[in-house]
Amino acid sequence: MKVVIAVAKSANNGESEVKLAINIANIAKTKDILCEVIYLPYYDDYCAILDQIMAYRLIPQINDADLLITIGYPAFALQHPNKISFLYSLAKSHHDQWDTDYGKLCQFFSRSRDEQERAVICQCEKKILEESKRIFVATEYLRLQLAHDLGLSSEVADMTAEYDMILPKSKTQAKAEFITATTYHPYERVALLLEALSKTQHPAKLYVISYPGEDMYRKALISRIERLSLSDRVIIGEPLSAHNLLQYGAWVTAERTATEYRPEMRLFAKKNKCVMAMTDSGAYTECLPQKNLYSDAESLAFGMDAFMNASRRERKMTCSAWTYEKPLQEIITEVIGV
Amino acid sequence: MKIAIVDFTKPFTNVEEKQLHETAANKLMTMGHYVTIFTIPLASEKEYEARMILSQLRFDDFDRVISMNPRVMGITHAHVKVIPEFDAGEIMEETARGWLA
Repeated sequence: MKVVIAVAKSANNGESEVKLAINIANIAKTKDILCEVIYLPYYDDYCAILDQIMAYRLIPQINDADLLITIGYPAFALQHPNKISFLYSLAKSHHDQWDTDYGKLCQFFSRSRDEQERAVICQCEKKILEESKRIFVATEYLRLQLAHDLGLSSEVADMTAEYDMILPKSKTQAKAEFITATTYHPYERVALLLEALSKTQHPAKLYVISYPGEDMYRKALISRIERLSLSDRVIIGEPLSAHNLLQYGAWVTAERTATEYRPEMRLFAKKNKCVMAMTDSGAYTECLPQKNLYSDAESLAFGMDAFMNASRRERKMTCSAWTYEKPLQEIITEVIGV
Repeated sequence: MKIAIVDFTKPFTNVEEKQLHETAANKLMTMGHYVTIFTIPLASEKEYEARMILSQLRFDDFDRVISMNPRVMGITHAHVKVIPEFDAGEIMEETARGWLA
C-alpha cells in the first residue's frame, strides 16, 4: 500500500499540521507502508482563497497512491478517490472571524455582496469536503462549525501536537509570571493582553513567545508596548523547553475564536497549571473552567491580580478532561487500513 | 530568511533533482535559514497547464522561492530563481548565498 500525506503550509503557520503528518508517517512506517509527505503552499489571504483552492484542484491526481491523507486548509481540495482529511480550521476570515472585527477585513462591498462571496466559498468547501471518506477535526468547536456552516459531519480527534521537548532544559528562572505565544496576527489579540497588563495593580510581567509572523504586525505590537509604557514588563523571547515553560505561573491567551489548542496551553492544562482565556476564545471555552474566562481587558486585569494574590494551591486549575472516542494512533491505524 | 524550495517531481520517485533539493535545503538550514521543500507534482504536465496552476499558488510569506527546475518561474513572487546545477558533495557557502542573491 502507498500513502501520500499532503500538508498545506505557509511560512508562518502549519507547525501542528507538520507534526501530525510526521506522526502519521511514522506510524505508517512501523506498519511497513510506503508513505511520503508532501508540502503545498498556502497563504492566508482572504482575497485569494478561491484561486488557491482552484490551483490545488487542478494539480493532477496522485495515481500512484492508494490513499491520500490531507492535512490542513485547503489540502482537502486535492483530488483522489480514496481521501481522508484532517482539519485544524476552515478559512478563518470567512468562518470563525466573519462576524468579528477581523472578518471585516475581507468585506469590501455591500453586506449582501459580501455574503454572496462567502456563500461561494462555503459551497466550494462543502462540495470538495464531501469527497473525503472521513473528516477529522481538532476540536469540538470546529466540529460544530462544520456542521453549522457546511452541514457536514466530522469526527473530533486528538490532533494537538505534544509540546516539543527537543529544546534543552535550562536552569534559568522564569522571567515573568504570565506567558503567551504569538505569530503577531491581530486576531491573536496580544494587544488586549497588553491592555489588561497595563491595568493590573500588581506590576506583573508577561513573556511573549515569538513565532515567525508578518513583520508589520510585529512592529505594531512593539510600538504598542512602548506606548503603554510596558517595555520593562513585557519580554519578547524565543520558544522555551517544556521544563522552562512550566516555570511560568499562568498561560494567558486572548485569541479570538480559536479552532485548535496551542500545544503550550495544553501542556499547562495537563499539569493543572493556570490557563486564562477570553469568553470568545472559541475552542478554549470548551475546556477551561468558567472562572478562567474573561470578557474584556478590565476583567482579565482583575483575574491577573487575583492570580498574583493567590496561594500556590489556589493557583492550580482543573481542566475539563479532553475526552476522545479513540486515541489518534488507533484512528491512524484504522485510516491506513492495517 | 524564509526560503521555499519547489520540487516538481511525483511522490515515490527518487530522481536526482529531488535529492539535490534536499541537499540544498540542508545546506541553507545550516546557514540559519528557515527552509520548506514544497512538492507540486507538475513535472510531466504541459507547460501552459503547469503555469496556470502555479500562477494561482501563493508564496507571499517566503522571502525567496528557488528550484533547479525552470518551471519555478511560473510562480508569481518578487524573488523567484532557478538555481544552476551544483555538486551535492561540496556546496560552498558562497554558492548557497548566490542562490539567495
